[in-house]
Amino acid sequence: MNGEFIPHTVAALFTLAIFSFLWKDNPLYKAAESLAVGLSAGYFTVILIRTSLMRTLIDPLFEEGQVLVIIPGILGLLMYLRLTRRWTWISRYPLAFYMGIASGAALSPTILAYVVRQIEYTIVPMGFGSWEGITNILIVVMVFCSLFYFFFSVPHKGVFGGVSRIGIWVIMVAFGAQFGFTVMARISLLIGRVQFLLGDWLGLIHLE
Amino acid sequence: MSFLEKIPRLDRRVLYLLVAIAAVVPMFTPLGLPIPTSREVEGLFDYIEELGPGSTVLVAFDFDPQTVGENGPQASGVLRHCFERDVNVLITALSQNAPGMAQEMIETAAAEYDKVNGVDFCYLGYQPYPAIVIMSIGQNFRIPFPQDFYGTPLDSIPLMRAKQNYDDIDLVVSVAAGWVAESWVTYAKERYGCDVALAVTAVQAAQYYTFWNAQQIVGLLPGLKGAAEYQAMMKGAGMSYTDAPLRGMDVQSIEHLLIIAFIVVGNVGFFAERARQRREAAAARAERRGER
Repeated sequence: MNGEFIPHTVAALFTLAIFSFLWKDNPLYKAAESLAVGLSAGYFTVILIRTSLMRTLIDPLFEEGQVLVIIPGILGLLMYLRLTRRWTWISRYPLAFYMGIASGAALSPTILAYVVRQIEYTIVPMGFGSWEGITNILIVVMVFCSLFYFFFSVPHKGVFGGVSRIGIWVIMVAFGAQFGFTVMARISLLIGRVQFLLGDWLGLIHLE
Repeated sequence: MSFLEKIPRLDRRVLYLLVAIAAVVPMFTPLGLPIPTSREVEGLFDYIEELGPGSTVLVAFDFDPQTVGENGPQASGVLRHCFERDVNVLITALSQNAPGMAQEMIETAAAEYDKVNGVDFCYLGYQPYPAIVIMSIGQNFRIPFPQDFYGTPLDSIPLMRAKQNYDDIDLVVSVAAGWVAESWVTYAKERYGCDVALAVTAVQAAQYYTFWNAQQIVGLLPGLKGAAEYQAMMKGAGMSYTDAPLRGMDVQSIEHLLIIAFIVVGNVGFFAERARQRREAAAARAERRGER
């Protein structure tokens, strides 16, 4: 028996407890689920205190004498005034400060990443002379039809109805791809657990 | 009632059992199905291959233990590839439950390649608010990470002394199970011009192909399939590799065939059931007409 057998056994038993839900809901599953939530919250709290509160506020303030860290520290503490009825309005100030900075910093790169670059790479050379040209035609047509599906200022009838219908087909294809990937993801997680149970825990299979 | 008509009423636990059998049996009898590589996975692999010794890659562990089945082999593959090519690695763990898991994976890989903490790699650890951390790295690593994960000030770490911001690293690889991957593209790439690659869960992959098509990322590893392709390329290049994702793809293929069979049989059952209901309705109508 190696030193990892006991922790692996504990992990394996909890995996099986979670899998037991597939048969039906039961106290074992509930216990494992509650423990996972509790452990996760506890672990996160310790990590947060150790790596964030201590290293960016307490240590710089008391050990290195960086007085300026008091300002974000106080702003952070003011957030907790939301828990009072009388002083809750004060918590809006640090929140406004945070939202202002976050929106200002995020706006420009977000538009660049999600809008400008995507439009840029939709303006592509089209033609029937090469496979790439044909693919580019498809990209442009599908983007146009998908966007048109969400254009509600004209009734979706006649030609507009046809374009809109192609748009919904394209969107359905995208949903299908997403669903296929989701199935693959769930099966991958199952594979990971089966490899753990059969390999790491029981030692029935050997993975290099 | 025929067999086909009984299918819609089949206990779902029978399906779970079949899925479990399909997951377990191929583990004992590997099929060795071929794993063709895709351009998006080759993109990341080739990028790291072209980096010389002494280059620096930032590997971001942006996932929790819940998705280690998918993200674990991806992170392990990229880390080992960097160590194999003597590329320096900086590691962050911006997902709340990632730090301990990341530490274990880093220390295992480092021990395998005799890599020294602080010289060949540096584990920076966790800080909250990933988007703000990613933005502030653009100014200086020391703003979000005054110390590394083990509490050593960055200026005392040989590898970090000359590292200020994204200008001093060659690539960011975000191994992610959430929106943090997008933040690396938005801020590290679009704001600071650092090359970024993503290794994400399959659930996310479909939406991130838009980044790949728009050349905003240099590579994309979609789920376990991406990890398996990456390990297959490492194997092909004569590097040390882990065969867990390669064996996993055998199971994945069989499971997908099984699910396709479920969909086909389920639909056949559905139409058989509907035909039976129509027959019964027609018989009932005929009976009522007879009574009149």
